[in-house]
Formats: sequence, C-alpha cells, structure tokens
Amino acid sequence: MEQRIQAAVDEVGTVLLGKERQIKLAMCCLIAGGHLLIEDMPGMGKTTLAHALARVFGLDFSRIQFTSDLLPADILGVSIFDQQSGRFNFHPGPIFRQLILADEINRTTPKTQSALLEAMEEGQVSVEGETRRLPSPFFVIATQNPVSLAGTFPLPESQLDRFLMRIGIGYPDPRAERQLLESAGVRDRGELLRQHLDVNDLIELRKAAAAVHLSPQLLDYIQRLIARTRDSEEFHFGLSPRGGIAVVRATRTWALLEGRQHAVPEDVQAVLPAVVEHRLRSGSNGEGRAGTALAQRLLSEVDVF
Amino acid sequence: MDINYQIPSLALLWVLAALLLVILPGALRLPPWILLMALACMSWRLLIFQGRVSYPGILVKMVIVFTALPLTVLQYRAQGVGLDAAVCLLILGVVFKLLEMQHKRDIVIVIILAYVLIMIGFIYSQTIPAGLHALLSVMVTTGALVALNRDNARNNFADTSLLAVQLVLQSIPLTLILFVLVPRIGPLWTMPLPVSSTKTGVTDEMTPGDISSLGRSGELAFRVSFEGEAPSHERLYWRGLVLDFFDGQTWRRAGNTLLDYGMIRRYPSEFRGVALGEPMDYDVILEPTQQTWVYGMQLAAVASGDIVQDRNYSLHTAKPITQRMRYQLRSWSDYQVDLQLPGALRARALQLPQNDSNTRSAALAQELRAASSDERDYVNRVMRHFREQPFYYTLSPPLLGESSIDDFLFETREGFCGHYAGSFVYLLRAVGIPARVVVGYQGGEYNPFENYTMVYQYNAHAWAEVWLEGEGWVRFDPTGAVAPERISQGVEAVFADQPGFMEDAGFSMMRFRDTQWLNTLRLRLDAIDYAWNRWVVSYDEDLQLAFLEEMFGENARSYVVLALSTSTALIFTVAAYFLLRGGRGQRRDPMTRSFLALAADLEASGLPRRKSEAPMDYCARVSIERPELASAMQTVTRMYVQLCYATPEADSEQLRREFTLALQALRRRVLSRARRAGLVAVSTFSRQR
Repeated sequence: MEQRIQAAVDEVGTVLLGKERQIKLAMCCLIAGGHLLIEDMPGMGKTTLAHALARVFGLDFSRIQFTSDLLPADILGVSIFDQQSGRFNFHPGPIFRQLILADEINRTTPKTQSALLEAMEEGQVSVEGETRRLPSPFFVIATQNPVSLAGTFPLPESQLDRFLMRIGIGYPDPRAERQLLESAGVRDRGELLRQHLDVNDLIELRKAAAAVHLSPQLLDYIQRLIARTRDSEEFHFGLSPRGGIAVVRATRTWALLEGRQHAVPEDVQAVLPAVVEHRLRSGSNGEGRAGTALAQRLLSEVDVF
Repeated sequence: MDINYQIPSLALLWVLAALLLVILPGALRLPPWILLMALACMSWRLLIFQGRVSYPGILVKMVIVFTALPLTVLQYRAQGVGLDAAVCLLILGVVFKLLEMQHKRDIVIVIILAYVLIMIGFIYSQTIPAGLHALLSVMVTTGALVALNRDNARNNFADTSLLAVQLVLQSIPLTLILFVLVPRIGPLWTMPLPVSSTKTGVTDEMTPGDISSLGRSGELAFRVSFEGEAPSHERLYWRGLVLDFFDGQTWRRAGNTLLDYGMIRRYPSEFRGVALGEPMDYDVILEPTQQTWVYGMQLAAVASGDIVQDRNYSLHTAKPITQRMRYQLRSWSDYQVDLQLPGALRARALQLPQNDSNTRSAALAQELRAASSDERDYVNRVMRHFREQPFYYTLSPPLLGESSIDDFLFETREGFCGHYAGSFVYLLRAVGIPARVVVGYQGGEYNPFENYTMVYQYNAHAWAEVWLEGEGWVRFDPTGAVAPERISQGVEAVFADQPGFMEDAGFSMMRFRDTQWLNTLRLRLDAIDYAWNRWVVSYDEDLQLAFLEEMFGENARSYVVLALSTSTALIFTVAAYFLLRGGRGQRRDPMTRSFLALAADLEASGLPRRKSEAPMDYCARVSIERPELASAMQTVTRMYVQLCYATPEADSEQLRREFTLALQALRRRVLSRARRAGLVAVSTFSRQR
C-alpha cells in the first residue's frame, strides 16, 4: 500500500514538477477525508494538481468554474418540467460527483459559496425541499486566488474552517522550471496519468489512519501548540476545538503516509502550517490574513518536549 | 536593535500626557521659561509625530543644551546648589530627551524619569491632593509603559488605561504592607529645603496694626488633639513669644533670648514653673511658618519633638519650620511660674521707653495706684478701667500718633488685642509692677469628626502676664474685659460682620459657616486632611514601632523584620524556580528528561537543540554534523521515539533498560569529546600566552 501511495505521489509529480511536499499534503488531506483549499496566484498549477489527484485516485470528477454570476442552482441542479410525463424531473448539478474541483471559489458571490460549503459540511444538499445525499466519498478541492486580487469575495472564517487544509503551491525551483519550459506545449500530460488507487483503497487507508497511535507526550505537544494560539497576543483569536481535531486527523494520516503506526512530533510539524494557517489571524494586524510566518512562529516558539 | 522600530503612537501620546501631568504642578515653583521650554519640546515632539517637522539635528540639540545650562545656572546662582536647581535640570533633561526619542530604550528612559519626577513631587508637597495627583500620574505613566509594550492590535486607549489602572490598583495592597512594615531608616543625608520668604503666623514684633492683618487671614495655623476632653474655649491660650521690650511704638523680644535656652533647668525650683492640677496631653500639627518658634499652652513639658524651651517658657526649634511639624506636649490645668523673679528679669519686665511721652497714661497709672490697696487690687482696677470706660474692640482702628499709649487710652479708644495688651502692660510697668506682652493664639474651632481643635490665623491674639508676689506670672487678658465674647466664643463670633475680617481669605468655605451642610462638609474635609497628616505623612519610626507593638506585642520589630525578609526570600525563590524551570518541569516523563540531558550535553559541545526541533529532526542534524556519533544517536533516538510515541505494546522494561544504557554510553562519548575540545582550547590559549 505504501508503495502504491508513493507511486501515486510520483505520478502526480510528473505534471506538477518539484512539488512533492504539496502533493503529499494534498493526498494526506484527501485520505483524512477533509476538503482541500489551494490558494495561490493564477497559473501556479492549482487546477493541474486537483485534476491529477482526481485521476490517480480514479474518482468520479467534475469541475465547476466559479464566476461572479454563478448561481446555487448551477451547482446543485434544477427540476425541469417534463411535458411527456407531466412531472418535474430533477437534473442533478455537477456537485453530485465524488470529487469536485471548485475552481476560483472566491470569485463567486457569497450566496453561491454558501451552497457549496453547506454541501461540504453536511454531505447532502437540499434542493426544492427535498434532501438528496451526495455520493461517498465526497471531496472538494477548491482553489482560490489570493484575496488581494481584484474581483474576489473573501471566504469568511466560518467557511474557511470547513477546509481541513489550505496549501499554497509556490514557484517551481529553477531545475523544475527548466524542465517545465522544455516540455511546454505538451499540454495534455494530465490525460496520460494512470490510476493508482481506488475508492476501496481510500476507505482502507482512512481506517488505518484512524488506528495510528497518538502517545500522551504527542497530545501534550499538540495541546501546547493550541494553548499558545489562545494565550499569546500574537494571534487575534485562538484555534477552535474543530481546528484541534483537524490537526490530530491530519497528523494521523501523515504518520500513515510516512509508513508509521504512531505519530511523532515531526508529523505534527509537517501538517500544522497547512492545517492551522487559514484558521488563524495575526494579532498585530486585525485586517490582515494570516501569513505563513505565523504557523512557523508558532512552531518555533513551542517546545517539543 | 531593530532600526525600523517605531514608537507606538499611543505610547507616545501617553508619555506626553504623563509628563505634562507630572511637570505642571511644579510649574508654579519653577521659573516660567522652563515651563515654556517643556511645552515647546512637547509640541515639537507632537509635530515630529505628525510628520510635519523632523528630528532636530546635532547642531540644534547642542544649541538648546548649551543655552539651557547657563540659563539654569544664572537662575539658581543666588540659591546655590540645591533641590530646586537639580529638579530644574532634571526636567530640562527629560523634555530634551523627548526630541531624540527614537528607540524603545529612549522612551523607557523617559518613562522611568517620569516616575522619578513623581517621587520628587513628594518632597515639595505631601497633602492629600498631592497624593491623589501622584496616584493619577503613576497610572498615566504606567499607561505609557503598557502602551509601549503592547501589541498594536490591542493597543487602544480603553484597554490600555484599564490595564494600567488594574496594575496600579493591584499594587496597592503590597504598597500598604510595605508602607506599614518596612523598617523606617532615618535619612542618610538631608537636602536643604528652600525657605520660603513669606513667613506666616505671629511675628516677633507687635506694632498695633500687625495682628490685625492676621485677622484677615482664614488660613490654618495648627491643629491640636487632646488626649482627653479639650479645655473650654476661654482657656485655650496658645503661647507663642514673650515681648518684653517697648520702644514707644513697638513691642519686641528683649535681650538675646538664645542665651536663655536650656538655662531653665539650672534654676532652683522656686524660680521655675511648678505644675499643679490635672495634666493634659496633646498633640500639635503645625503648618509651616518659616519661623523658629512653636505654640503651646502655658507650662508645657515637651513630650516629643525637636523643641527647646527658653527662660520665658516659649518653645523654639533649631531651624525654621518649612514643612508641617508634629510635636506632643503636656500642660497642666494649674501652675505656678517663677515664684522668685531674678533681678535681671525683673528689670526686663519693668522696662519703659526712654523719653517717654505718654505722660497722661503715667499720671492715670499713678492715680489708680494711689487708690488701690495692693498690687492685685491695682491690676483689677486697671481691668475695670478698660471695662467701664467706652473702649471699642475693632479690627480697623484709627492710626496712633507719637505717644501711642496716650492716644489710645484717651483719644481713639478703639483697638484690638494688641492695643489693649500693650497699654495694659504699660500701665502696670508705670507703677513698678513687672508685666509683659505675650503673643500667640487664643481659641480654636472644635472638629467633632476627628476630635481635634483647629486654630486659624485669625485666632492670633496678644495678652499680658503680670508678676505678682507669691503668685508668680499670672495671665491677664484686657481684651476679655472689653469684649468678653472674643474669649468665650472666639473671634469669628465678634467679627463675622466686620468688613476687615478675613478680607484676604478670598473665596473661602469659611464664609459659609452659617450654612449647616457646607459647614459640616468643611469640617469633614479638614478632618480627612488631619487624619492623613497624623497617620500617613507623619508615620515615622516611632509611630511604626508603636503601631507594630500594638499589633504584635513586644519584640514586634524583630518579628516583622524576620517575617518580611523570609516572605520576600520565599516569594523570590518560588518565582525564580518557576521562571527558570519554565513552570512545567514536573510534567516531563523520565525518558524525555534523559533525552533532554543528552541534548544539553550536545549543546555543551556546540550542537544546541532548537526548541522546536523534534527528536528525529535533531538526530538527523546531529548525524550530519557529527558523523562519528551518527549511528549511536540514531539508535538512541529510535528507541526514544519507540518509548515515547509508539503504541504501548512497544514499551517494555527491556527497551527502557537498553535505552538508558545506550543513552548513557552516548552521553559519555559526547562529554569526553567536549572535555577534550575544552582541553585543546585551554592548551591553545596557554600556548598563545
């Protein structure tokens, strides 16, 4: 199983060059059953990553491009009157898939955002008074542009909280960039990706992750980290219990991906920035978004032991 | 240091507010140009803050400093080096510092100096308003400190002031304990306090007209609290000075009274005062008079305070009284003073001006003396003369001419205590009866809230003492013969409607003594002020000891010192322990402690573990830096991770033992290496020498 995961990581790595860590975090997030938010500048490979993940997991995939005029019905689906049967037939929207790529989620209005985010939280949608279950597993990989760009509706904290992780991708290093430039034009590499894992694997992995052991010392460490966000004036507000649970879930899965049955502090440190950054806000600047530095500072200030 | 550091704007405003608050009350004492300079510097700093002007250059700063210094020297050249000059320099230093305040360190200096200025304020004034002002100043200055060290996000005015107030209030219990308990040590040196030129109270001369100006003042002279019940109003004669030399216009002190100090004890008992009747103990708090004598009832024995008594039973201090002074006296309800009068004193008490032009008065004296049987009878006749002839008691008498006694006794017949006492003594001396004028205060207002008597400047009074054979010096008050209510009810009752009375008092609450609730309020406020002076300002070594002995019994002082030092040591030990241990040393399990000991050893050999570094990351780094330790380190770390983080099944006695052994072996290697490295370093060092 471990090799197959590694193979899947490598496979995605062929389209997103030199970003093994980000790929692994993304997979960790999916295996942990959380939704993933990818935030970066346009053109950094957000969509590519989401696309590649869907292919290597062999998931039923649909992509929704969020625009400022997108309406909730465009996502959830509508009932259309059928002349022949004389009844309304429900035409499910693109959300009824296992993996949704919500592209540029912050370009749409809060109303539409809410429709998606409700589905993410509940695993079901209510359309015209009727509750319909979404397929299982159900993942959302949302991408968003940095909030400072024009034409964005920033997601409020309450909705950001629904994403297990938020990751950035960042510029490729020079070697990867060179390789990318050389192969430019070969656009459809994504179509060639092979499937390495399937839905059953996912369920199995999720079970295994739940069995990963967390020692008291490790939980102490996690609690110290959480307490620090609540006590220190550096943070505008502390980490919520849901945030704490998210840290634990991600830590377990990461330990599993590292091939261990127990989690160590290194696992916490690996996932912590991705898990907590979008849930925290710097204390010194009430308006600003949390910077990457914030989670790093948190890690560097809390003793492991 | 962070060169991009910017002083938080709020902190700056707080500091300016604090300085303004601290400097302003002293502004009345200071030369006006200093105040102007301070305000200018503050405004400049504000403009810098707004970005309208920049920091002054080195040249400008030089010019400012080198003009201010000579100015200060010129200003205070007359007074010499003293408190005022020092305070002035300090204030200038602080406000100049504002102009070059760019770093956190600078603003901290200014804040600390602001605290120092608050303390200096106490040298000048120790009243309740001054105390409240100091408390407010401390709060604002603490606010500046809080604003300086706070994160910007929470740095709003309300939060910061709340925290500052909380901090100051929290410190109050500790302050009280320290105030009460910390041993008082006398000052190691004393600062010469500036003597104010405006003397208050009774003067050592009496020219009719003088005491009247006291009658115009509603200021407090002193406050007295009696141990038992206060004597009735007409017995409250507060003796100040004895004036026994008369030059025709003015009564003065005769001879060198300094020589009389301390001589009193060497006289045989019949030349001294003999106490009879009930003793009365009382406690006086005297307002600063800038003079060297104090007030007490006749035949006072000094119970405490730095006071000497002269031959005339007047009480003197060694230095002018520049601050409130507290002393305790014991007097007696009855006494005999100087049953025998030595020749020199008798001569003093009979002195009359040369070229005396008061012929009509002398004739009157002879006439009355001839009609009376003995000296006492004569004195009574003179008193009766004052009572029966149309004399008027007034604060604004007409002027007297060359022969002042004659003019008063036969022409104007209007006057106040000074006129009556002076002419009374003259009439006695004219027939050879020793007599003298005594100046001081008479009466006082009883304050029921703290059970003490307030004596005001308008209570100033003059009366006479007559030496009678077999009785010694006896007090006679001719004013009482003219205006009995002056003595029995007080000067307020007589003069309340006279235009001259309390003319200089301005807007005084005294004017409202007829309004019941305002009068109560006035007495209340004075009572609070009195209690403050009695229990706070004059809380010294003796009072502390008395208080502690009352609380803890005998040997109180050693107990308190012991308790204080033990508890201080205890507090500091506990605080130090938690600070040094990080407060959670107990939570660590033994394996982690051993692992941290290993990390400490590695740190000694130059590989410190970063706080955030987890064991495996640390191990990887150590392995790279010290390849020879790599395998051992990896083994130890692997076992440590097994023990601390793996599932409980992996935890076994055997593993623990192995871990301990491997760890000890590794630590020995690390240590020996470190020691070798240290030795090498030492030998290199010695070779170099």
